Amino acid sequence: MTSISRRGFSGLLGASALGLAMPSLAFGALPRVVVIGGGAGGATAARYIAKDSKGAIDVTLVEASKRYYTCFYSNLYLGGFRKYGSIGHNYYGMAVNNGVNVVHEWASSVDKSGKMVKLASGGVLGYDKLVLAPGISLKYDSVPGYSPAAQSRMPHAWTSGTQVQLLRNQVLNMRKGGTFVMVPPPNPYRCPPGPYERVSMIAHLLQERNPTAKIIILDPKEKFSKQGLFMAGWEKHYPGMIDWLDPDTHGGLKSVNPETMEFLTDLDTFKADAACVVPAQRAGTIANAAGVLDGDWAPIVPATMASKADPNIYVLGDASVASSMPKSGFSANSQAKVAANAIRGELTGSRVYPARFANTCWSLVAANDGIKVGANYKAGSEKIDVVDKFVSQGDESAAVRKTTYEESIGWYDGITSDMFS
Amino acid sequence: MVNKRFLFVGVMMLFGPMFFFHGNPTKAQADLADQIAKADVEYGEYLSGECITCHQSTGASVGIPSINGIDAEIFVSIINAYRSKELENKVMQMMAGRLDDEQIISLAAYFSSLPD
Repeated sequence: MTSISRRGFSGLLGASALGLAMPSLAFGALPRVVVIGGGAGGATAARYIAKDSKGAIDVTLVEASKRYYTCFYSNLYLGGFRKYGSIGHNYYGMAVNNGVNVVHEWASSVDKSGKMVKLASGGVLGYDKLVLAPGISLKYDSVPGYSPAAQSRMPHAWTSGTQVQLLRNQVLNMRKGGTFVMVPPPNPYRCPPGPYERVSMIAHLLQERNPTAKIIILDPKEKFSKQGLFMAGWEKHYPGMIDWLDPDTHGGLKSVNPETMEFLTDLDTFKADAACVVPAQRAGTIANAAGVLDGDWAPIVPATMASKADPNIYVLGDASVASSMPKSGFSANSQAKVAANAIRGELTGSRVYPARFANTCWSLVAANDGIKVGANYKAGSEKIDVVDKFVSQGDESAAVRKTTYEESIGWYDGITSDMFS
Repeated sequence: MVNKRFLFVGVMMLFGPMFFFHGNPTKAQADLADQIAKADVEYGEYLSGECITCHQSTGASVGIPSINGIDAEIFVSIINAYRSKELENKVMQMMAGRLDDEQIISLAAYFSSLPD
């Protein structure tokens, strides 16, 4: 029997410790990361893990859409400030420039103990680390009378794509002097200023095409993001066109009727010529199938974005409970970089830096009238804590507002390049 | 390109005197150059993730200037000017406000190493 030297033993010990930490490496294969969802969180995570690991990690992105239309800037398309094609992106750069295996399919379930993702087509993907970035799914029944069948009459248009095109078409075809009804969602939801930027953009469109039309907002909330700035902007640019009704005023939305286009509240029954109904939201379906939710959303460890339910699963963006960060594309992109750094560190031993998060939400109120709100954050023990924050001021000059809008165009080009190039 | 030249001229107009006439500028500049030469570029690359959400990694400039290939000393003086709120822009004041000296130097070393 051959004896084993001390050096040889410690070498073996090292190899087995490495094997424990990096199970795939023990079998000579690359460690595997599967990312589900190709939006601001998932695309950024897939790209950063692939790009920064320089081939040391096998990255697969599962995204059903071959062309991804961003939610951010879909309101600017509604207002006529962007062409629809300009908010669409593909995964060419992901596959060709970064070597990510792009799988255009639906993920249907996650086997946590076997570390496998099952695809709707029946295929299976094994992983060492799984990133879930599925965005939101809609709780249609949170608005009585609303349903997937109703969304062609009352588009939610809250996941971009065809719904947004439909909504623009319906606004353009409203009768002269008609009424548009907007139903924003209750908290928490994707893109806090989004419903109010949407109202601004529809007001802009109507002012050009149908200036005697009215907009009624039936809000389930008593206040909303950048409220003072939006309401001052509406008064300035669209005087008399927009009525925001809070729940104290309308008494609660009892039901909607997509056939008659009626909205029943305690205050009155409102009849719409066109409408947008954005129901309550929860994490994208796969997060539920993966068993990482507590209620509607997935709790995470702030320092890494790892799921509190499973250390090998990370949850990014809208699906996560990342408070104090809002559910925004910028937040998801920022969280993805923190997760990518942590995942690379665990799988390849690369340097891991302290988590840093940031967010800014730009909104367009009217032509060249941009406003913004933002903050940066650090990982606290239980939540993501604000370090510093800012918001546009009410008394800013027209030049500052124009610069803010132009800055948002730069941001759009920047973040989409950061996601897809 | 045009943007970067604007940036350079603007910064030199604003801060040129600080560069050249404050205290012992030659030594200060030499110290800064030395720090940049010894900087942790990998750390700068990690930190740059916060920047390139807006300042495109491809170096294109629309609405937000490109900072790829920027002169390292100019980068440091611009960030310091945002940090002290001498330069306006709420996003940049916030982003610069949480950077410490080591982080600024690391970022300067990283961005100045990129082709513009």
